[in-house]
Amino acid sequence: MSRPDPATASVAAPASPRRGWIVASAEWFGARVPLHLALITLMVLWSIPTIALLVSSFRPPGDVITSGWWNSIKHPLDFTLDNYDRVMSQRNMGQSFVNSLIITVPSTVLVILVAALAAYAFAWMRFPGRNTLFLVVVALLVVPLQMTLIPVLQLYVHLTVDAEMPILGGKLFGVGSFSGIWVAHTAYGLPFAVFLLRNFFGGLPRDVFESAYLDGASDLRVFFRIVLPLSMPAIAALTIFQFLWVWNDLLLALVLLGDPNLAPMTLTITNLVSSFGTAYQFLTAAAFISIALPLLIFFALQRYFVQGILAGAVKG
Amino acid sequence: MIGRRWWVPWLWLAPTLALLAVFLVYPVVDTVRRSLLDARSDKFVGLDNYRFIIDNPQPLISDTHAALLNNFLWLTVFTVITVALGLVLAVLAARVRYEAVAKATIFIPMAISFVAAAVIWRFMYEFNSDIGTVNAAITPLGGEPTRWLQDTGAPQTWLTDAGPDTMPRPIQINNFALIAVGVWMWAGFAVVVLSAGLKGISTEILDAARVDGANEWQILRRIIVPILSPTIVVVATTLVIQALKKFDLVWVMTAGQFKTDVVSTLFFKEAFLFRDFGVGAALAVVLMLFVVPIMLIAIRRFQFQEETR
Amino acid sequence: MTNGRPSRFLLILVGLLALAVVAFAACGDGKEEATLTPTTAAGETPAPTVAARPGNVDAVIVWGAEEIDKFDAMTKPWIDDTGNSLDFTSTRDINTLLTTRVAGGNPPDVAFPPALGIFRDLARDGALTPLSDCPGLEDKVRADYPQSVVDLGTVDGTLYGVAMKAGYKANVWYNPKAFAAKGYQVPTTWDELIALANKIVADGGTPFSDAEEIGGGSGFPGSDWVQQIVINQWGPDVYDQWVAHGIPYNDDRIKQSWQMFGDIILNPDYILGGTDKALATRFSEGAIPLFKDPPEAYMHVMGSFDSAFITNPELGFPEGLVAGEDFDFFPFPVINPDFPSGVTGDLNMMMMFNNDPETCSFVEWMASADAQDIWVGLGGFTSLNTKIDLNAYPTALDRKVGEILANPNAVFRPDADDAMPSGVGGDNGAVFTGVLDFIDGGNLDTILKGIEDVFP
Repeated sequence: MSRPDPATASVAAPASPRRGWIVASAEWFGARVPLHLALITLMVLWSIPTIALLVSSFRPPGDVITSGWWNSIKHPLDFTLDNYDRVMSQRNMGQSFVNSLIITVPSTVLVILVAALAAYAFAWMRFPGRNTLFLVVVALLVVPLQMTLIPVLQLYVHLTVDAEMPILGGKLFGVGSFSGIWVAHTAYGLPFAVFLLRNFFGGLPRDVFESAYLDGASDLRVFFRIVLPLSMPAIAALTIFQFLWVWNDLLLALVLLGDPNLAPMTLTITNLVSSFGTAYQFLTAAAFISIALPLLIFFALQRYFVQGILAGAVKG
Repeated sequence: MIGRRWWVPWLWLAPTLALLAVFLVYPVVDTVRRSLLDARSDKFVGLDNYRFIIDNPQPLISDTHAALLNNFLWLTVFTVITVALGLVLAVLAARVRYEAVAKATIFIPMAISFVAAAVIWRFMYEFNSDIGTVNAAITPLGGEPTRWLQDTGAPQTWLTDAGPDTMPRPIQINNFALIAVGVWMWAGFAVVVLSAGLKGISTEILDAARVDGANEWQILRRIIVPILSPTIVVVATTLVIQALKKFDLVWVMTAGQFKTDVVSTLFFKEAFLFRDFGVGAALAVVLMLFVVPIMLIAIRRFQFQEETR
Repeated sequence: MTNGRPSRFLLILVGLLALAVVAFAACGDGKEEATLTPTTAAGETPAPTVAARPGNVDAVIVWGAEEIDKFDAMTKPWIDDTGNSLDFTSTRDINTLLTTRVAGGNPPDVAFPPALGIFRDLARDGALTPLSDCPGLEDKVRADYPQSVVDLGTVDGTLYGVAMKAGYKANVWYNPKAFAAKGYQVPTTWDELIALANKIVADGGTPFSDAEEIGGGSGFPGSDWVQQIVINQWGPDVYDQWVAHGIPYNDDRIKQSWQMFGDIILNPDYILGGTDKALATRFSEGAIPLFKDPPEAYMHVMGSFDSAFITNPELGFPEGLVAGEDFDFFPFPVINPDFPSGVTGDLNMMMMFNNDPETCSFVEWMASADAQDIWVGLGGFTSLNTKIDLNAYPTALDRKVGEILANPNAVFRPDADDAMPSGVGGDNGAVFTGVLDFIDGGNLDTILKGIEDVFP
C-alpha cells in the first residue's frame, strides 16, 4: 500500500471532523465507559504500592514497622517530615545530587549521539556483515554488569590520570573520575540504544531518503535534518530510560568512583541504612527525593510523543 | 543511492564498536577464559565448571537446576504478561485525554530505584496482616496470610485452598510474587516504547477501519499488532533479556534465598561471595548462551523487515 | 516538521547542565571534612598503581546510619592529631566491593569486614599486609588483646588482622517486668529453660519469639543458636575442630545439637506464630513481641546488638525502654556442666592492604583502647581490647557484655559460620540456607550432608 506523506499527515483529526464527532459521541456509552473503567482500575492498582511508599515516607519511622500504611489515614496529625529531613541532612546530600546530575546528563547525551550514528549506519548503509554485526551488538545486552567490573577496573587503574579535572573535580580520567564513568555508562547503554534506534530508523520511509539523496544531500545532512527529527519519539524514550538507569545506578559508582566526594545520590542514600539493614524506612523518603528529577524529565519529554509525526513512518 | 566510500559506514560505527569492544566484548572473552579455569583463575580445569552446573552437587547453596528452571519461568511468564499489559495499556491510554497521566502512573515504578522498590514490596508482602498490604487485603476475603517471599509452595486459590501443596519447581508462590514485582516495574517500559511506536500509525487507517465496522478488538489484532510488530519485537526481546539478566530485583528482595535463585544471582554468589570465579564465569557463559536462540528468532524478524522495506 | 524540535530538545539538556553548574556553585559548602584527594591504591602487587598523595587513608566499612557518626567520633582524634585525611566508602556489599577492587588492582588501605571468610581468603591470596610490617603494631596488639582474639587474626602463622567491634551472639533477651509479673525465674540450664517454656505454655502464653529474615543473611539467628548449643554441649575444643573442619559437619554430635535447636524451633507451641512467622520476620523486629502489653512472647535469642534496636523506637519498639529494668539478657543456658562459659561472638576484622605510614598509624589508633573507648561510650560497640575502660560502657547491660568479652580468660570463639570458608558460612551460605530449610521442615540428614558437601 502506498504510504501517506508524513508532511501532510494530520495530528489527530479524522478525515471528516463532523463525522468523527458523531461517531465518537455515539460510541461514548458503548465503548468509552469500559475503556475508562479498565484503564483507571489498572492505574489505581499500579499506584497502590507507590502510594503506600508515599504515605510511609511521611510517617514516623516507628509506625512504619508496626502498622500498615492505611492505618495512618486515621491519624493524619502523625504525619511528619522527619524522614525527609533525615535524608536531606545526610552528609553530602546536596553535593551528591549535583554529582548525580554531573554523572547522568553527559552519559545520556553521549549514548544517544554515539548510538544514533551507529543505528543510522546499520539501518541505511550497506556494508558486509551488517546484519550479523548488528545482532552481536544486541546480543551484548545480555552481558551481566558484574562480570565486566573486574576487567574494566583493571583497565581504569592503568589509565588513571592523576591530574584533577577543572570545575567538576575528581581525576581527569580513570578510577575516581567523572569522565571515566561517563564512558562506562555510555558503553553499557549502547546495546539497547542501538537496538531501539536502529529499529526506528529502519522503519522510516524509503522515499524520504531517496528524494534527499537525489537532491545531493550527504549522509550527515540526512542524519541531522531528516532522521533525527523524525525519530523524536524514539529518542525521547531512549533519553528517559538512559537517564533513569544512570541516575539509579549504584554498582558502577561504587566500583569506579571510590571517592566519596564524587558519590552520586544512590551511594549516599545507602548510608542511611545501618550495617544491619535497619533504618530502611528512610529509604522511603529517599526514594521520592530521588524520583523527582527523572519524573520531571519524563513529563518534559511527553511532548515528543505526539500522534502523527511519524504517520506511516514506523511500519513493518 | 548515494555513492559511499567503503569506509564510511565503519566511521559511523567506530565509536560504538570501540566502546563495546572494551567494555563488553573483552570482558566476555575474559569470562569465557575464566570459566575454563579454577576458582582463583589459576589452573586450567577444562569443562569442570560446566559439569558443576550440570551435576548440581551443592543444591543447598548453589542450586543450578533450580536457577535454570526459575529463569525459564521468568522468561515466559514475565515477558508475556509485561508485553501484553504494555500493549493493552498503550492502546487504551492513546484513546483518552489523560494519556500522559495514565502512562506516567504505569511508568513511575520504573523510575523508582530497585532499592526503593524492594522496600515498598517488602511492606506489601509482609507476612503480618497488620502491616502487609497484600495479606491485609486478602484476609477479610477469607484468605490465609501467606509468606509471599518465603513460601515455596504452589500457588493456590486463597478462597478455596484447592490444588496441590507443591507443584514441580519452579512453580512457587514466591517466584510469582517476584515476577509480579518485575511486571510492575517493567510494564512502564513496554508502555513507553509501544506508545512511541503507536504514534506512528496513521489515524486515517484506524478510523477507516472503524467506519468499516471493525470493533476495537479486531482493530487491535488485525491492524495495530501487525503494524507494531517490529516495536513489539524490540520490547519483547529487551524484556526476555531482562528476564535472563534479572539480578537486582531478586537480589534485593530475597538474595536468592528460599529457592528463588536465578542464574545471575547464582553467578554473583559464586563469584563474589563464595569467591569461585570459575563456576561464576561458567554460569555467566551459560546465561549468554541462552541468548543465541533469541537472536536467531530476531534474525528472521529483521530479514523479513529488510525485504519489505 | 520544523527544525525546532532537535534544538528544543538540546535546550532542555543544556538547561539541565546549566542547572548543574549553578547548583554546584551554590552548594559550595557541600564538601565536608574529607578533602578532595585521590584514592591511594598502592598494594602488594607490582601492577601500575595510582600515585599516592601522602596523608590520606581510604577505608571500606559496612557501617551506615548512626554507626557512621560514631565511626567519625572515633576517627576524629586521629585526623586532628596527625593532620591526615580519611576517605571512607560504606557498603553492605563489602565482600563484593573488596573482591572487585582487589582483583581490579585498586584495593583500599583499610577494611573492616564483618566476617572471617573474606579476611582469610584475602590473607591467603597475599592481598593483605601483616601487622608486623608496621613498627610496633604487632607487639601492641599482642599486649592489648586476649590470646584467643589474636589467634583469630592470625592466618597461617602470621598476624594480619585485629578483631574489633565484637558482639556476643546468643543472648537470651527477656522482659524482667514480664517475668516478675508471672513469677518466672531466669533459667540457668537447658532443662530449666525447657521447664520454663512448658510453664509459659501452660499459662497460655508463648515462650519464644524468633525472627530469621534479613535478605541474604536470613537464617543467621538460627545458626547462632545452633553454634551456641554446640559450644555449650561439646565444649570449645570440639567447637574448634568443627569450625576448622576437623570433624565433618554432619558428625553425630553436631546433629544432636541441631536436634536440640529443633526441639524448640519446630515446636509450634513454643514459637510465636510458628515457623511461618519466624521465617518471615526481620531479625531486628524479633524482640518487639516481648514488649507488647500483654507480652506476646517472653524470650528472644539474639546477639548483643539487639540492645541498640530495643532502645530505638524508630525500629518499632515502645519508647523509653530502660536497660536492666524493661529489658535484659541472660546468658545462654548451660547444657553440659563441664562447659559452662563458652561465648560465641561476631566481630569486624580490621585489616590493611599496605604499610604506608598513615595506614599504620590509622590502624594503630583504631586498635588502641583510647580509640575504642570513644565508640564504646556512644553505645553499640563492644570492645575486645583488654585495656579499655569498662566504665565507658553506657549501661550496666553493655558493661556486662563488655566484661565477658574482654576477659583475658574468655573462652571466646568467633561465630562458627563466619569462620568457615565462604560458601559454607556467610551470607547465602550453606549454614544459613540449611537453617532456613530446617525450620521449614527439611530433612536434617540431607541438610547436614548438603552443608558438609560444600566444604572445599
